[in-house]
Amino acid sequence: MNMRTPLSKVTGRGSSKFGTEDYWLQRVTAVAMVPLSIYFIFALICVVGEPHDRARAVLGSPWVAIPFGAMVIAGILHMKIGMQVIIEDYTPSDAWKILFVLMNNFFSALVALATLWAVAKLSFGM
Amino acid sequence: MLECMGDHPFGRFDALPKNGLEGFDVLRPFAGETATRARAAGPVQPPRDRRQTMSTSKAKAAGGVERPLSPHLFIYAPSWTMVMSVVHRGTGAALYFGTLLLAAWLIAAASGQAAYDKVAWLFGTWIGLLVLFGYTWALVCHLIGGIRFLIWDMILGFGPERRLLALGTWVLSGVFTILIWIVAYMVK
Repeated sequence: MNMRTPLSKVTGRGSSKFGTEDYWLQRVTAVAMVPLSIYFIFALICVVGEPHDRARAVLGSPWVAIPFGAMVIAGILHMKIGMQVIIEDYTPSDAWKILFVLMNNFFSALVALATLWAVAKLSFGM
Repeated sequence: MLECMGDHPFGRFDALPKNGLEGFDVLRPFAGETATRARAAGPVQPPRDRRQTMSTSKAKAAGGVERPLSPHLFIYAPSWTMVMSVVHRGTGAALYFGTLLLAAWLIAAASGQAAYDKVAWLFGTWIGLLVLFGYTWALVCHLIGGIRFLIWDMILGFGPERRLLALGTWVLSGVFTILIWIVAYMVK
């Protein structure tokens, strides 16, 4: 039985019904990144300071490129949600909040696309 | 308010059975200081008029109704769990912008020899190395802190050991960061 009043149905206020999605995705990406980031640190230790052709070969191998791709996807989702929480906590007005959340989305999407482009190019050697 | 809660902001936790850890000052570095400060300041008085503590527009929007102010940051003395929570947020924000370093390096590697050499040179300068060291520490600290929060998400570790968990994040992140850099230099 629906207990909501007609007025409350029309104004549509209240829970958005998907508020827990970001919370849960933040935990899922965090768990994914525990092994990925440890692997990422060791991979970077191997590659940093190497000459270009060798760095290219290591980064383009599937053993590095696939975990890197997974790390980028999980990491960007994680940092986007995290930054949105920070923005929502500290911005005083809705106008600033909408602006910053939008900028956060664009920044995250741009960094994700740029990094994935680089990983793909290193793998397929275009 | 401070007096009725005892000298710890999370007064209710102090009702838990105490173990040997409680005696160590290093785990409650600010406890004595808080009590002294609370005694010196006397009982905390809430602001007489809530509208004094907010901007005019907000007070007007609230219809000028006086409501009790929730206890805010100023009544809490720093504790390790609080400090590490703030550090977790700080390192998270740093890593957010740090992804630009990773993106720049990967794009340079994908673009060609000249771009790669330029970025490698930039990362090799002392300021570049300093930033990379900070990035490593932020990553390790956020990783260990994240594991701590996953433990707390499972409703484990809320006893007196919570301070040890928080302090452990601080200590281990430093140790692992230095180890990573030692290994990186040994491999080269």
